[in-house]
Amino acid sequence: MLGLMSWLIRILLLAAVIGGVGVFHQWRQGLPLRVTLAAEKKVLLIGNGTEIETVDPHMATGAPEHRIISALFEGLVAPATDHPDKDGPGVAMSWDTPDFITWTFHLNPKAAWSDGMPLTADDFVYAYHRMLSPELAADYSEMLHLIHNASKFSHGELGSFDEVGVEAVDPHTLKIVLEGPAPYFPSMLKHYAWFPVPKHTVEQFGTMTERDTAWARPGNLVCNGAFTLKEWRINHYLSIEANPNYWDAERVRLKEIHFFPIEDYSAEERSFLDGQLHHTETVPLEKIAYYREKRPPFFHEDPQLVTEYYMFNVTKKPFDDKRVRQALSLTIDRETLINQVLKSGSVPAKGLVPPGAGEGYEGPDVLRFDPERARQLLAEAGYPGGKGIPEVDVLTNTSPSARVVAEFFQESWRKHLGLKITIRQQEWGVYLDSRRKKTYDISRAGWVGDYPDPYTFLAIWRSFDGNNDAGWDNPQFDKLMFDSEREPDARTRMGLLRQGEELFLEEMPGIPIYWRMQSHLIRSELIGWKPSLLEHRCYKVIDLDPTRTMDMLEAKTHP
Amino acid sequence: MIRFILSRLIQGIVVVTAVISITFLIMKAAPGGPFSKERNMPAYVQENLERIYGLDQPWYVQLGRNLKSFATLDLPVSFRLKGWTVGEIIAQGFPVSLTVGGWALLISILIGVPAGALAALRAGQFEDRATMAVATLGICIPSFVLGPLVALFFGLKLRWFNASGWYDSSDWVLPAMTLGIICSAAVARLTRSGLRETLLQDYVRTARAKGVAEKMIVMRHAFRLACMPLLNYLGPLAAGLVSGSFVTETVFQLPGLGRQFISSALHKDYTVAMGLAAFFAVLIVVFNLLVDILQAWLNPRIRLKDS
Amino acid sequence: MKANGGNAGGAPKSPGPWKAAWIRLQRQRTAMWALGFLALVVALCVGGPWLSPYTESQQNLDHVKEMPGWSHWMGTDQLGRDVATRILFGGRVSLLVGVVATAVAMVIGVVYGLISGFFGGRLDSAMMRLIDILYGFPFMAFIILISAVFGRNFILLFVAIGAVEWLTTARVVRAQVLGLKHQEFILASRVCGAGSGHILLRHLLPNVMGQVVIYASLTVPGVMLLEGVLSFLGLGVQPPSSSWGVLIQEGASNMETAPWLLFFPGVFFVMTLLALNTLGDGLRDALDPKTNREGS
Repeated sequence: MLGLMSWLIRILLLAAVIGGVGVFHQWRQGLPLRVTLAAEKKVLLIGNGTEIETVDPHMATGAPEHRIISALFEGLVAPATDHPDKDGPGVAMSWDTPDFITWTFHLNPKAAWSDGMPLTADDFVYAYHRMLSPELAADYSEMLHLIHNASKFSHGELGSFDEVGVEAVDPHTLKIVLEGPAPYFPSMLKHYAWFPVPKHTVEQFGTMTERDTAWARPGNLVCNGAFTLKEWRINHYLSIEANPNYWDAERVRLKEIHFFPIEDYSAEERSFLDGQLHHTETVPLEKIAYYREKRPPFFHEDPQLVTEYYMFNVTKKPFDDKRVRQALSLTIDRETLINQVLKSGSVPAKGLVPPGAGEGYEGPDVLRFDPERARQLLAEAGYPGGKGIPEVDVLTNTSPSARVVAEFFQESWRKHLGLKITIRQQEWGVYLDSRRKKTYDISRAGWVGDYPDPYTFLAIWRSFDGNNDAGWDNPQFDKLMFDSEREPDARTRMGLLRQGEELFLEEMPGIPIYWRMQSHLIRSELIGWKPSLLEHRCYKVIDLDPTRTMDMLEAKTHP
Repeated sequence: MIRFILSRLIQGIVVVTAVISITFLIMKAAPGGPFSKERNMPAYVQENLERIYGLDQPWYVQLGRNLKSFATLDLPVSFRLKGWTVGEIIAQGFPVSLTVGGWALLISILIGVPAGALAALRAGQFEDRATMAVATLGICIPSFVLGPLVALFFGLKLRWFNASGWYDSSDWVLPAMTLGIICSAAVARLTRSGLRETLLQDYVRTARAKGVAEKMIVMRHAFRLACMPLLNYLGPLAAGLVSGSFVTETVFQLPGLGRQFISSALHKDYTVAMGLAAFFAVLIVVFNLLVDILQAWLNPRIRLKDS
Repeated sequence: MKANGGNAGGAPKSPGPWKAAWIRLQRQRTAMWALGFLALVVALCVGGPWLSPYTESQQNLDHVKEMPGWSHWMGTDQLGRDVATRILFGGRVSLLVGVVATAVAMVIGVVYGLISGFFGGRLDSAMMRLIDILYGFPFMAFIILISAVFGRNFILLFVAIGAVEWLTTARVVRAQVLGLKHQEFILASRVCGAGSGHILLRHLLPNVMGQVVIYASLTVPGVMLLEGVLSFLGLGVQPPSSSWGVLIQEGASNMETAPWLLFFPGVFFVMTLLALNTLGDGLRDALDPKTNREGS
């Protein structure tokens, strides 16, 4: 009898547990997705990669910062509403230039700071003064060096900022004089290095050139973009809300945007599938092919102005010989690497400058896979069958995909040229240091364009450029770049740049591998989002339509 | 007792100072600085930055300055997160890590100790073999495999909890489960071996021979002693868990200290790395002190003055 | 000797504690099976690659991420390399790292813990605080430093791993010694005029070995996985070579699209560790001087 009772109790307990789990399950299943609730409230949820360092436009350096700061601040020129890569009116309603050297910007009289203070030409002069001050030591101050005398000022060679080519003609007219003609100048102004900062707020929390003050913290920050900073919790999220004092405020559709710093690609993908994000920063490499084929409504691939390449330490034997460098480039089967191994959708590089970098620029198409010719070149250089070349040290960073690419090259160069390759994976900071100190033979590298012009990809190869880690020194190339900086005619200028690229590809101090394609997962509720080569986003035309929900349960089943 | 604790706390200060100093020196010695980016910085900017932050001074001056600011609790600002002080960063991250780590610790003890005890009492029998095989599996599964699996199943498939993120009050469940399962495996093995060893001790066998109920023996004598190795394992483990696990926080997108610790080391954010190392050292000192006190209390043969 | 070693118990003419342990171990069937399995794995990893038609680094780019099939029993990876061959090659590294690094950690930990616990007092305090310091400082920063300064170097890998893994062992051993050193048999030994060295080696060491073996069996999988992580940070195995740690790391990121990349290395890893743990348990029982008196 007692035994029966205890069994009964056990069975009842078990039933209660199972029932409880069942109720819990039903309850949880019925919960609406976070994205649906957010879309109804017009709150956009975006994955934003690495945690940002700051929202101060003058202190920032990275792409994640770019995506947030361009919502908080607005430069003279802003992404156009019809296409973010075009130049639309920002704080400046219009601009004109007779020679691409002297530029006059006509500021919108309605432009204001988020605290209601008017925004005038003086604010830009103040901002450029701050940005160029040696005491602030802004990372990107060099971007402003095409302004007349700016370089001298930031090197401390000029006593007064008055001699720098920026002038507030009147509160709504700003004149900028450049060192030379730059037809791409307006598109450059969309970069945050050129954004204004509010003097009254900056100086409320410190001096103009003081770093690490609290002015850009939530609660203090005053900005001039479509949104203002609401909250920022480190490694958690950063939220911004619509700015009622923005000059174009009635056009802004969204009420809030939440940026989530998610560094791990797979974690971001899971967040998306869990209905926590409307837009992901990226897609895990391993899953790209799957989403492209099986879930096309959610999958988007945007070309970027990014070239991924391997560079040689040309100061070291045998890579001081261009035939050796060419031979190594000729033995890389870019198509196979990208289509079979990485499956990333990136474009096999045909040259150094990616397509779309500069209107009217047609890059050369010379990169080939030709192991036969490579062996010949290597033999001509005095290393038949790789004999006489000591073990080659290939430097790369720590990501698994970087390792796969390096292993692919290792095998290609072994098979076709008989080279013995050691792969040295180094943690990011150490890897950068090795590159700078040139303690490598061949190194992985990548370059992100700052503005749509071939110059941004070519200038880093000038012999004196701070980013020329290959140690390549070619006077003819330097001359071409120098001439292009002073050439007023757009077509002739593009011709000079093309000659520069041809020279680069002939000398081959670096092997371009692919032009990056950025993949995103985007929910169907998100409308008005347009791809951009430089990840420019015109946030004010982006909207959420909760009725456009597409059944994501389908996308929840896993391969 | 009080003298013992006081002397341990003084030793603790030495430990924390040493940890801060070693952290700083290691990071200083490694290549790259807090301002290294893929895009090289112009030389003049680099020089100005180093001057502004005093990075051009001799290392002992920099170390002294940092030690002073930690000693006076006037915590320095981060190099990376511009304008945030080390204190603010810890204050934001610690509650998250503490919640997840605390639950993980509890889960690992609640699963591990009974499982280990069962295995020890039925040594050599099926229960023992099965438990230990499962425990071995648990020890072998790395958190970067178990974490995504847990997120996929309980998050995406069943939709019981958010697959990642820190939104709802129940978001600690999946990460704590992941960590708890992994740690419980080791706890079970240590419990089994500790208990098994004490069950073979003379006085336990004497007690058994006298016919005292076995449960009583286990509870009263064996278990207290069996805890010794386990306790010494749990001390550092607890400190590690409540200060955050990098992998779990990454997989589940938690804004805890574990991610912050690794990223500060990778970005050469000296001040944050020193602050977090100091914080972790304090936890280690406290937990190991607790272990030593508990140990003396549980085992009359160990005297505190030995410790 | 061999046949009756076990029942001699604490008799003065008994074989040494180590030899007795080996004899006791031989009587445990499961432990011997585990030993046999481990021997098989080692033989496979050492000799297996010669039997394989593929090499570790041979890429077949037309057969990338292929499911397990006739030509590739365990499938191929993202570069079309044969997973089975890579597992066998990788096993060499992993087994070596697992055994050697764990042994290093255990030797340091045991010696440290014995000394600290036995001599006690200020020496003990100082030694334990040193452990606290080593627990506290950021391992990641340390790894970055040694990989930057010394590059990829196998010896350093052991040093790096050994530097962290012995800490808890030392604390566990010390706690054991603290509990043992006031026990009657130690005091008796002392009264008989035994020196410290004799007590440490003949009496304390055999008594702590049981726990050490268990702790070692917990350390091995951690060490092998850590090697995989470190390999991506520029320590550890040199690409294109692999280890189980590296394969599991790579497999984890392909878990959903190519599960075999995680499954097969995982199976080898878990099976080996299971055998190692079973052997560990057997060893623990065999090493414990008390076990044989139970007559179990």
